This record gives sequence, C-alpha cells and structure tokens, in this order.
Amino acid sequence: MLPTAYEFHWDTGHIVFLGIFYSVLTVVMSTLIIASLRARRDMNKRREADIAWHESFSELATERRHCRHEFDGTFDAKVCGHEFACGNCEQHRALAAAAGGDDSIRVPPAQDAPATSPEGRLYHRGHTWVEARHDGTYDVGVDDLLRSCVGNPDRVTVPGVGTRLMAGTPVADLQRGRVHARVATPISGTVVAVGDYEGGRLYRLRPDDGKARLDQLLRATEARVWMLRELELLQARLTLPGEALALADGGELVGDLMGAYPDADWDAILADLCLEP
Amino acid sequence: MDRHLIQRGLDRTTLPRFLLWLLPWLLLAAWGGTSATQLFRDGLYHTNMDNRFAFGLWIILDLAIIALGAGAFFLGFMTYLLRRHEFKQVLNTAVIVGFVCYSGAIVTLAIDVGQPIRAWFAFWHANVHSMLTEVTFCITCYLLVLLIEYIPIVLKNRRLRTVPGAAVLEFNLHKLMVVFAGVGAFLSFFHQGSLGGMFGVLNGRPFAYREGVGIWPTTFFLFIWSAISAGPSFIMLITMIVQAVTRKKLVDDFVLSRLGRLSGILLSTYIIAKVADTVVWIMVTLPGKGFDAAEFYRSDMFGAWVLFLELTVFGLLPATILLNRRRVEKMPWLIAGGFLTCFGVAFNRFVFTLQTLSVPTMSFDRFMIYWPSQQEWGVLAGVFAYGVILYSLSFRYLNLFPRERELQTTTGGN
Repeated sequence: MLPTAYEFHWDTGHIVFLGIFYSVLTVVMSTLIIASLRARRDMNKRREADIAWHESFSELATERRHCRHEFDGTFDAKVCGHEFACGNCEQHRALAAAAGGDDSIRVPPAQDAPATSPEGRLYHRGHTWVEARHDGTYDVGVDDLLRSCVGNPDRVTVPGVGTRLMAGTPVADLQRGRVHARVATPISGTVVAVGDYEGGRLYRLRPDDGKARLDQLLRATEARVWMLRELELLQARLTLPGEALALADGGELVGDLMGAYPDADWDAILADLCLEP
Repeated sequence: MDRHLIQRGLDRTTLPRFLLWLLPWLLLAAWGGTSATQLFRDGLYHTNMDNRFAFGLWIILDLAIIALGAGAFFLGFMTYLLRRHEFKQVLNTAVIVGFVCYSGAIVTLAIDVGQPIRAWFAFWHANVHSMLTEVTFCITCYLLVLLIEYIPIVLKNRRLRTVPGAAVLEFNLHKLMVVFAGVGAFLSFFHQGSLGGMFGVLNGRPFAYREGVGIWPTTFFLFIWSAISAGPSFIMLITMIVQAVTRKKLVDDFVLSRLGRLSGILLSTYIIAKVADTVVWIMVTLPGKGFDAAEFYRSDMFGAWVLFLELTVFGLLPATILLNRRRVEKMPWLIAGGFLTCFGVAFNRFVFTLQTLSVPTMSFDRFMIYWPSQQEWGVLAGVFAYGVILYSLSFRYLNLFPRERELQTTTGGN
C-alpha cells in the first residue's frame, strides 16, 4: 500500500498497480474538491437563484418552454433554449433588429395611479405580473389564472419590507387547506411595501441598481396567447382520462377552481403553474 | 403524512400502504441481519463451505450482482461520454441499482471473509499479484464513485432542494459527472475482468483454466463482455418491474426497446466469443493438460445440459430475440429476452464458481456437491431485501424517472 508497509517493494508490480490505484483516487477526490470549491464560489457570488432556476427550467415539460416568438406568431413551434432570458438569445435580438426596433422589453409608460389594466403589465411564466410605477419601483402580483385556481386562500405569506429578492426564487406562499402555491418573484430587488392581495397584488420592489431586468417577461400581447395555452394545459389536468374536457372553450373561469375540483392534484397543478419542480 | 418529502406531481401510494409493502422485506432483512450477526459472532462454521468449496453461494451472489450492476457504469458511459441522451431516462435508476449491487456485494464479501475488523488488511497489506486485490481495490473505489453519483439524485429531493447550498452543490457535482462516469467505466472494466481472470488463472482447476493474452486469460474479457451485455437488460427489467408494480408509465417505450437492442448486439458478439473460447478450451487447452471435456459433465448435477443451456437458451436465444428490431418493440419479447440474458449471466457465474469446485481434479477425487446453510441463504435474502428497500425508498422520495411527471400528464399514468 505504502513504502512504510513491510510487504511493499519498489518493483514494477507495486509501482504500476498502486500507481493506478492512487491516480484513480486522486482523480475522484480532486473532482469532488473542485465541485465543492465551485459550489462555494457560486454561493459567495449569490448565484443560488440562477442555479435553482437553471435546474428548474431543465425539468420543465416541453409545453411550458415555448419561445415568446411563438406567441407573437413569428414561429409555429419553437422551444426556448435560453431559460426565458431573451436578452441572451441571438435570434431574439436578430428578430428585433429586423423589425427595426431594439430588443429590450419595457413596461408600458408608468402611470400616476396604480394600473389595473392587464395591458399595462408584463407577465412572468410563473403566473405573476410586474407593473411599473413613477418612482422607479415595481408592483408584483399574481395573475388571474393562478388567483382563479387558488380561490380564496386561507393564508397569504409575502416577504417583509427590506427583504432582498432574487428573480426566479419562490418568495410568496398562497395556502389553501394543505396545498401551497409558492410564487416566484419575477424580478430582483428589495421589498419596499407589502400588498393586501387585492387584485392579486403581493408586494412592491425597488430593483437593484435602480434598473430591473425585464427580458424574461412577456408583453401583454404575447401573454394573451400564452395564457390561452396555459388554460388548455389546465383543462387537460382537470380532465379525467376518457372524459370530455372539463372547461368549455371560450367560457369564463370560475373564481374558485380548487373548490370546484376538490379531487384534482392541486399540489402538482400549482407546482406546474408556478414553475416549481 | 410524508407528502412534503415527495416530489410534486409524482403519484405515490399512501404511507401506511408503503410501510405494508416494506414489511416483508424488512422481515427478510432481519433474517439476513440475524445470520450475519451469528457469522460474525461464531465464525464461518455456520456455513456449509469447507476446504473444497471455499467459494459458495455468496461468491455466486457477488459475481452475479456485480455483473448485473454493470448497467450503472455502462449507461453512464453511454450517456455522458457517447452522448446517448435517451438513456438519461433510466440513468438515475441505473445508479441506484448499481449502488445496491455493489454495496450488497461488499457487505456479502465482508461476511464471507468473516473478520470485518481486519478488512483494512486487504488495502494496507495488498498482494499486488492477486486478481482479488485488484477486485477489492476497484469495487471499493467504484462504490465511492457510485455514492458520489447518488448524492445529486438525493439532493434533488423536494425538501433538500429548497436548501440553497444543496442545490448549488448538486449543480456543480452534476457538471463534473462526466469525470465520474469515465472513472466508473475504467474501474468497472478492470474489476469485471479480474473477477473472470481469477478463474482463468486457476492452473490446478482445468474446468476454469483458460489460455489468454499476456497475463489476462480469456475469461477476463468474457466476464467484461457478458456483464455489459446483461447490464442494460437488467436496468430494462427493473424499470419494467417498477412500472408493473406501481402501474405507472415511467419511461418512453422506445428507451426500453433500445436498452434491449443494446443488450442484444452485445450479447450476440459475446456468445460468438464464448463459443470460440469453449471450442479452444475443448480442442486445445484441455487435451494439452491431459483432460477430456466430457469428464467434467459426467455428474448428475452438472451434465452436458449445463453447457448447452448456457450457450443456447441463455445465449443464442436471447441474442436472437433482442437483435430483432420488431421483436424489441413488443413487451413480451423484450421481457423474455431480457430475463434470459440476466439469468444467463447469473448462470454463467454459478457454473464458474460451483462447477469449477465440484468437478474432480485428482484421479481419486469424485464429484462433490455443496448446498448452502440456512445462514448463507439468510445473508442472500438480506442483501436482496436491502436492495428492494433502498430502491423503494429512493423511488418514493427521489425523482428516479425524469419523464414520469410528463408521462403521467399525457397518458394519465397508463
């Protein structure tokens, strides 16, 4: 084993055999150490949220990874390969350039009074919306589909004022009975006010460095098509095998789907809607 | 009660029913534990092994499960190094099956050696000229690799993944998994071979002795070949059994077909090599040592049917089934082919271990038979139960089949 053990001899057999053994052990242990060091570096750089989102995205079903340009009619079918960060997508930039504009996603002009119109918002695929305010802050809330699913939650937990949030991290919790919808924040920033869940409003954020990253959010026109797709997926989840679709096309959503379909696997449905693995 | 530990969207039975499922396996594990305690306390006299049968049921078990566990390294190699991403659907299961097989084998070996307190002697006072030393080193290192490969799967548990550090470590380990896959393939290649080589160098046992290349007898290569033939089939069968027990679709059918076909291709080349090796053994090796092959097949226990069975029913037949593209798309054929392949590799290890020791080597010798004791069976049952329990817990609390959730949604679980 080692030159100190009495059986050890400096011959070819010992050198080759034990040399290979120690080389393998060295490779295994150094790979482990490298992984641990990289993990520590990522923690120090506060990349936990990015990594968690990267992992969650890779586990998303294909039907939840459609490119935004499918919703605006540019493509018939295209799956996003950039974790919804359109700012990193060359094709998105090329399309924007071809259209003669820039590729940035902006919240529609800020309004004096809090906007309640869906047109004045950007949408996150985890069923939240973002609304800009004059003072540079953003309101964040949950969209109508998620609200309809949860109905009247028994408890709404939101991060307190002063909490720093990382985009993509589950931060709010809507609890109904034993089921939880863990809602991810669509943008990063620090909470400056807490909402009352009126109209789905959760909290107000001041983005880091005063500028929010919005390229992963859908514009209202895109969100309209996306929302219809989400409704179809929800219909499929609420329909038992062999039965007709549960929701009639074109109808209005009832306000409390969880109450209307108590036997559905709401734990899984809400996880899907909130993009939670 | 344990819902918060189960991945969202995965349909699992209730906790009481799950505990009921575990109960018989826990009883078997208790039998194994009692047997192991007796053996550690009183020594190996509780076994029916003796000077003639120094290898018995436990070595057959070790050789068989290490061969069947080859799916872990081979599918890791196919996925990470050859970029066959379709096998990702069963890779987690392959890692856990591999871990169960190798840890079970090491526990059995520890009981077989009988003095666990001196287990470190094998490493510290290594006999570098022994094939078994190489096996000891390799399977220990490979178990470490399997443990490292198991960690990211555990860290993806619903509860654990909410711990930020756990998710980051899992991510970074996963990025380097290609290194572990490569090391695993290297280690497995050598210890599967050395297990075969151990028999091939037995100069005083003409039933096992084989010619070879350099220091490696042909059994070195045949054991590797048969293990990588059976590994994919074993993972395919385990997946099918889990699908049947849970009544859920867990992977796409085409993945199972490809595993079967992969086994078929490897098995057909293996069986050609095995036939060639047998012919050389009968025509060249044995006459050169003054033996006639017929002498080894004259007992009631080991007749010529053993050779026939190994080469045809457990070799040519499954190879023919699994090589056929149309047949591997039909589940009954796939099950038959996979089962015969896996049983065949276990049968090969049984023959090499037991018939080698059973046949006479001296003119005054006679055929002898060995039957394991209750304690030996107990350890085997315990290892089997341990495997089922660990796999069941992993299936319940970890996401072993990445496509399961999606397949549940699209097929309603059927």
